[in-house]
Order: sequence, then structure tokens, then C-alpha cells
Amino acid sequence: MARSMKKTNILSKIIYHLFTMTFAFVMIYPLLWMILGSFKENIQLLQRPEELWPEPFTLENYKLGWQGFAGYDFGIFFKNSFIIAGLSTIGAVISSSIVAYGFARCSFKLRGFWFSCMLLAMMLPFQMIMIPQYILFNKMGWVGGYLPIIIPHFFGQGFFIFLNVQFIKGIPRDLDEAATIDGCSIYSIFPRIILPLIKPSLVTTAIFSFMWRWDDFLSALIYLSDPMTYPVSYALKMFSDPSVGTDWSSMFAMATLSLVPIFIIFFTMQKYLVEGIAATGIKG
Amino acid sequence: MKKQNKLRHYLGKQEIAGYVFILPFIIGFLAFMAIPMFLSFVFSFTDYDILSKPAFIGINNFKNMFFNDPKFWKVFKVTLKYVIFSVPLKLLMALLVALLLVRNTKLSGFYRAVYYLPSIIGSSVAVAILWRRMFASDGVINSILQSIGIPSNIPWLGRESTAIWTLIILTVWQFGSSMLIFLSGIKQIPVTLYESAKVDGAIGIQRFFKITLPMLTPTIFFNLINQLINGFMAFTQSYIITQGKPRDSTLFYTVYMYQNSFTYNKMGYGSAMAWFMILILSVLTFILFKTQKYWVYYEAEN
Amino acid sequence: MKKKIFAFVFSTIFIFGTVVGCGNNNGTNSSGKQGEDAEVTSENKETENDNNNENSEIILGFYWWGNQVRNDVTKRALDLYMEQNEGVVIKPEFSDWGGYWDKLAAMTAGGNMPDIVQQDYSFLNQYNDSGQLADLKPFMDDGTIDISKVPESIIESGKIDDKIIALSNGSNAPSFAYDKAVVEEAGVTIPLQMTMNEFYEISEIIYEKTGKLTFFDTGINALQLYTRGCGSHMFEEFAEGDYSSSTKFYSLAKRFSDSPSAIPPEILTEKDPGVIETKPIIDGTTWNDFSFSNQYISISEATGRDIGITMIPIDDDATTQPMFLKPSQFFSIAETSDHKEEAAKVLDYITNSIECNKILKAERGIPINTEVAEALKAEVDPTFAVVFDYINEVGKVATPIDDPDPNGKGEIEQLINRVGEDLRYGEVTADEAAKNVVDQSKSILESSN
Repeated sequence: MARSMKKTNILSKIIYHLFTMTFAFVMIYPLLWMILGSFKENIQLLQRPEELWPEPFTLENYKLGWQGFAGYDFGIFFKNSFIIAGLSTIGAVISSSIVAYGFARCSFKLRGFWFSCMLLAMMLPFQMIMIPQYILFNKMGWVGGYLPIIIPHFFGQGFFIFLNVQFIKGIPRDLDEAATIDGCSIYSIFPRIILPLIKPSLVTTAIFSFMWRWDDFLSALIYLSDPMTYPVSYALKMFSDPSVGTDWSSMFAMATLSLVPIFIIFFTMQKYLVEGIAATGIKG
Repeated sequence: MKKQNKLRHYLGKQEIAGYVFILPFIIGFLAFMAIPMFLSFVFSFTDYDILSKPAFIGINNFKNMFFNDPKFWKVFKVTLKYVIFSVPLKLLMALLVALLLVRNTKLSGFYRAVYYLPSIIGSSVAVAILWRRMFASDGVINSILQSIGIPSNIPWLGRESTAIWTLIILTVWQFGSSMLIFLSGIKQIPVTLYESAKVDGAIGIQRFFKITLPMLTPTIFFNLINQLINGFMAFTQSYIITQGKPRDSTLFYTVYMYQNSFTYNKMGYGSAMAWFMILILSVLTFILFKTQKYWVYYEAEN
Repeated sequence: MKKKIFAFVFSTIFIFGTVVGCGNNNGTNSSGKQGEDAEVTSENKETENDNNNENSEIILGFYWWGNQVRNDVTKRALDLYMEQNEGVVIKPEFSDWGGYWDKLAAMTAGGNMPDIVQQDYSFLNQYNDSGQLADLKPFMDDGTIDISKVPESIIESGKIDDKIIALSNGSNAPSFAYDKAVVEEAGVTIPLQMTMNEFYEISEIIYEKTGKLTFFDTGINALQLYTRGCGSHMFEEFAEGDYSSSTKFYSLAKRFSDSPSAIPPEILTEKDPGVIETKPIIDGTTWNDFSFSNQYISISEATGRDIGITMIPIDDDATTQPMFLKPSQFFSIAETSDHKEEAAKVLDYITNSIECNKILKAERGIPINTEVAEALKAEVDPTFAVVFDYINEVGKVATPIDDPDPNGKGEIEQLINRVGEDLRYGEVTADEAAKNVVDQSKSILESSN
């Protein structure tokens, strides 16, 4: 009895891994194509795109691409991206969790109104407020630096606020009540009780925020003027010119390289998302 | 001392504490968003080419939109179709994979990373080239179909009936973000619930429907609202991969809005389109929020 | 009441300071960073405003679009200028084509246009209408910009009304590219300019002998050229609601698209001729392509094959030579610039300095100063030389270019693309296509001008 249980267990494990692996390959094939493409010569990339393996294999794209433009190399762009994405993420995680706590746990006048404002701001495409916002930041004297790109993230972003609200709502009120009885005020409940419990959503916020800021080129395009301050996302656009020609292989090389930091951030943080699940006994 | 107590009592009121907590949002909203949003709303009633001063033209933009611009309705329908198919498929995919990956094995981290990877490349220009190649008549998709015995040389991107599906599949393929949110949602479910269920003798599937699913409804709700908004606001897929071809069958609402605003120099008309979309989205969101009480389970409220 | 508000604000700050300890730390870090940035921004402002101060440098903003090569060479040429002209600092800024126009619009709306901006024929009118571009004529008259070696027609191309608002920085011409090996295999020769009937016959022969397909362009450039061949101008016909040239053009297009040698519409869509490197000629699906001469180098490089370049086919009944020389792009000076004269000097340098153009390598098009062009020809590599020769040939027969595109061009261009698709997919007849294009263009022109 125990033996056959073990057998089916192993079998189910094998099936699980086989299935997950196969599906993973399908998922990742296009990405593989892109990464391998960064080692191909332009001609192979354009003429025989169906081939997966680089023939001949070249590192020239990385060398050429890294040089960047007009003497500004990708080292500069990467540094800038880290500043922008890093600071914005810190801002987003802190401000969104605080604001979310207010929305989720306090009842106050006009709560619905402010929540609607937040949703509304999520629904308006950036392209449509780009021009008025540029004029506004220009009047404030912020245009040309990182301020208009980073500072708004210190005041809470709709998506992240909403995400954290949903998580806080999932925490039983009993915990708050018990804490109140112990003498905690509404202000100390947040750091003592709530924050540790919403760690998964804070991690999610951090991953997303970093990734989205890293990828965002539109606000960089609009607000930055000195090439010394350009981030990677914006620099990647500059390999292409529809009227004169695009250096695809260099672009592929730098695009591949630009995935590395996001991947590392994800890989190091994902374990916090699911750590402790084993302890919950959900494991099948 | 007495004064301090009074102050503490005053601030301890939910009414006040709420505002204290959401103050950053209010400041940020008023400082950075409110004026630009208001201006874009005003622009929707004007003829505005960005370079010269806007001229007030009443509701003409809206009139033109509804009655004189067949392309407006075309892109609206295209976008609606895209949303209707891509949103549920993506959420279903994300949920299933999240359940698959919640198991803790030695390879878990690796799997999660691999399934999340497609979302990382997001809207990179490389995706445009990649997707076009995948769905070319001599591309990978057709070779796969052929290898499993379905003779196929369909030019997926070249036919009106199939082109939109390549974009829907792309969206579904990038389910990583929703999956991640589901994963953290599952993780947050209190252990005690499963333990008491064990005592009650609930197993496997039962446990999923009795505990996991209801406890996950706030996350599902969040993902649904969010994907709905994202779906209507989808831009890059259409803009960089198909440019609306063939025959505008993949021209998304936001792309047409952008074209109007920046290529055709009709910022006023573009703004009108934006606010019409906001209206639609608000109504949908409002309805969904109202249905919450029937299917979304909040631990805190019960 | 006042006290209450004060207490509220104060306590808010206090609470956030104490309760969210870690938040505060990060907050201070970032506000330190903000301070630095703010300082930099305000410093820039000061120097810019201080133009009356003789000691301070003159700062010129210079904004262009381009790819890696252009960004590199332009920066080098500007560095050389700064070396030669002490006291002038040029701040370069560059974007990709699409982003460029979004940003320039934002900058202009904010009253922030850089001193020197790259311009395009299709945007000239729009920026001129709103009075954003400075008149260069005074600087040409007083010799700040020396135009003695530049053909009159090229200066004319930047003229709207009585103002010269833009200076071309290179010449370009529409061109027909073909795969030499395929043509040879089929045993045909491509003359300097085919008639449309010849083009059709050659297409059939090539299809029979080699199986290679033919691409017939139905975009705005093709229609514009065709109309010129009829002795008329496209935008004028649109404004008048005149169907004559369009009807002929679309029946020609229909004839080409019905031929078995035509590239099927599905495959054309799939290949995306909008991006140079995915044009159907690149992977050898078609043997020909319609483009501009400055794209020849990219096409050659991407195909890796021997590509020929010749003039766009002319209609058998054409009354006028449709070929023309087009400024590949312009430079303009912002009306809001505080240093128009200094900016004009930079334009003079770009136009007339051989040294500068040796750095720029004619990447933006063949230099407009004939002496500079001559001096450069000896220096460039063979692929470039092909373009030089081609521009030379076109120059011999070219007729004057159409007036700068009217407002609404962007929308009309999209419309023409769409109707071209409709025709290829067989959704409209040639007559319907012509009617759709002319009628809708007419109303677009009426509403946007």
C-alpha cells in the first residue's frame, strides 16, 4: 500500500516536470530566438530568420552596440536606468503601501471619490496628458532632469495602490482588533501588523515597478534632453531609423543585455513571493 | 500632556487617519495629474493642433466621432474583440500556471522565471520582428502545425480573419504579471484555513473550490479590472507589430487616438476619443465594483 | 480653525517621520538627489538667460533624429565646430524618428524649441503656419549662410510664401531598386527609366523565368509621382476634387495587382515593406522595390546582393518627367531662439565646410553645395558612389518639386495606404479607389486648412 503510494507519487512528479518543462520550452522559444539572434550577423538575422542557431557565431554585435551613440556608451545608459528604476521603485513601494492602508482600513469622507480619481488616472493613456504635463513640468523648471520621471512615483501609483488595497482587505480584521486591545494605535498597526503580512504584494510591487520603469522610454523621451542622462529603454530606440536603416543585430544584442537586470531582480525576489508556502501545507 | 492626548485622540479617528495615509496620493494627484487631466478634458472640446492655440468648438469632436468617422467604430470593434478574447484567456492561463507553480520543488524558481520571462521582453522592438517571424507563412507556427499533420501555410498576419488573433496570442503569452499576482495571492491565504479543512476531510479539488478560489477572489477581481483597463489601453502590439494591417483589422483604439493626436495634428479629436474610452471603462469598472458583493470574498469584511 | 489645520499638517509630517522610519530614510536619499538635479536644471536656465553677458558662452541646442551612424558623425562634426569656435557650446540631442516629432511638439508647446532643429518636408507647413520657424533669408542675404555654391532650386525647396524657413542638408530622389542577378537570369535589361508597359512586361518575363514576384507601390509617393507625370500636382487635384490622375493610377495599380507576377497582398502585409530591412526584396520574395535613394545603402547591405538603382517607371502617356530631387531633410532655426545668428553660422558650416561634410559622409543625402559634393565623391566607398551618380542623373532631367505638403498630409498618407490595401485585397475597384482617395482627401484638406 505504502509502496504503491510512493510509486504513484513519483509518477505524478515525473508527469508534472515533463509537462511543465515542455510547456516552458514553448513559452521560451521566441525568447531563445531573440537571444541567439543577438549573436548572429545582420544578414543571417534578416535573410534566414527561421534559423535558430547563429552561423557564424559573433560577439561583434555586443561590441558595436555597447559603443552606443555619439560617444555615449551603454555603460552610461545602464547607470541611468538603474537610477531611474531604482529610485522610482523605492518610492512606489513605500508610498503605495501607505496609501493603500488608508484606503483599505479607514473609512473617511470622500473615500470613494479619491479612489475613483485614482482609477481614472489609470485609465487615461500617458500619450494624452503628455503635452499638458510637459508644459506643467516645464513651468516648474523640472524639464531636462530626472525629477518629472522619478518624483511622481513617491506619491503612489494607482495600479500599486489598488494591488495593495486588495491584499490588505484580505487580512482578517481580528488581527487589527487584537492589536488595538493591546494598545496599538491605527498608526502602529500598519508597520507592526499589516506590513509584514503584505510582503508578497510589496515584492510584487517592487518587481513590477522596477520592470516598468526600466522599460519606459516615453517619459524619458519627453523629459530628458542631455544624452548623458538617457536610459537604456530610450537608447534602444535609437538603433532604428525607418528612412535610413536599422542595425538590428546591435539592437538585439543590447535588448538582450537590457533584460539581464530585470531577470536578476525577478530571480532574487521571486522566492519571497512563495517562501513559506511549504509551511502552509498547501503542497500537494 | 493633556493636549498631546487630545491630539492623539484626534488623529486616532479613522476619519482623520484615513486622510493622513492617503495624503501622498492626494498631493501627487493634485500636483501632477489633476491639471493635465483637466486640460485634456478641455482639449476634447477644442480644435487643437498642439503647435497653435486651441479653439473651442463645442461638442463637434464627439459628433464627428460618432457620426462622421466610420474608422472610429471600426477601431472600437477591433479593440472590443481583442479585449473580450484576450482578457479571460490571459487570466485563465495565469491562474492555471500559478496553481501549477505554487508547488515547491527544486525547480520551482527556475519554472517561475521561465514562465515569467515572456512578460519581461514586453514591448521591446525585438518582439515585433519576432512575432512577425513566428506567424509568417513559412514561420515556426506553420511548421509546427505541419509536423503534427495539419498541412498549413496560412499567412496569419496577412489575413483579416487571423491577424488579430496573433496579437491576442501575444497578449496571452505574456501572462506573467497576472500569474505573479495570483501567486502572491495564493501565498497570502492563511494556513489555518487549510488546516481546519484537513480536519473536515476536504481534499484536492474540493479544497481548491472551498478555500483557494474564494480566498483568491479579491486577487481575481483586481486582475480582472486591471486587465480590462490594460486591454482597452493596449497600444504597442498594434503599433509596432501590425500597424493596423491588414485593412485596419488590427488597428487598436489607442493607436488611432495617437495617430489623430500626433500624426494628424488633431489633439482635440484624440482627447475626445480618450475621454470616451474613459467613460466606457468607468461604466464597466463601476458595474464590476457593484457586482463585487456577489462574488468577491473579503476576509476583512466577514 | 487655522490652528487645527496647522496641527493637522504638522502632525502629518511628524507621523510620517516617525511611524514609517525606513520610508523616511529613503525619502531623504532621493530628495538629496532631487536637489542635485534641480540645481543642474536651474544652472542651465541661468546660462541660457545670461546671453547678454559677454563672458558667458553661447549655448545652442541642436536636435535631430537618426540612427547610430548619424548620431556619431553629427556629434563629431559639431565637436569640430566647437573646437574652431571658442565660446560656442552646442548641446546635442537626438531621438528616433517617431519620438522626435512627439517630443518636438511637446517642446514647441512648452516654448522650448531647441535653437536648431532637423525638419522634414511633410512637417514644414505645419511648423510654419504656427510661426515657429525663423526666416533664414536675412542670413543668406548678408552672407552669414553662404549659398553661392548651392543651386537655386534647392534653396527654393525650403521657401514658403516669401520666407525661407528651412535649409536642405542633402538631396535625395525617389528610386527603383532591383536585384541585378535576377534581372540577368531572366535575360532582360533595365533601362534608366522604364515606361509602365515595359515594367509590366519585364515583370511577367521575370516571373516566368525566375519565379520572383513584383511589387507595385501604391503609397503616397507613388501617386504623387504619377500625378506629376500627368502634368499636375496631387494635392492640387485633391483640393479640386479632380479624379483624373488618380483614376488612371489605380487602374494601373489594378492591372499590376491582377497579374500573376504580383506579390499576393497577404504576403506583402506579412513582410512589412514599411521597415527597410523587412521589405520583400530583402529575402528575395520580389525582385524590385520602390524607395528613396538614401535607402539604397541599407537595402544593399541587408540583401547582401548586388542591387541596381534606377528611376521610377513613367507612364506611357506621361506628358511631364515626374522625377524630382527632394531635400532628404532640412535644418531650421527656432523663432524663439536667442542666438539666431550664431545658429545660422552653424548652418553655414554644415552647408559649406568640406571638412565637416567629410565627417558627415553624405549620410543625410548628397551635399547641396556642388563643390562639397564633388570633393566628397572621391572619398566615399563604391556603394555611396552609386547614389552620387544616380542623383547626378536625376538632376539632369528633374522637374521642380511639389510645394511642401499641406496640413493633413499625415492623414491622407494613411488613407492612401489603406485604399491601396483595399485594392490589393480586391475590396474595391480602381474607380472606387480613386473616388475614395480624392473625396476623402478633399474633406481632410478642407477641415485641416
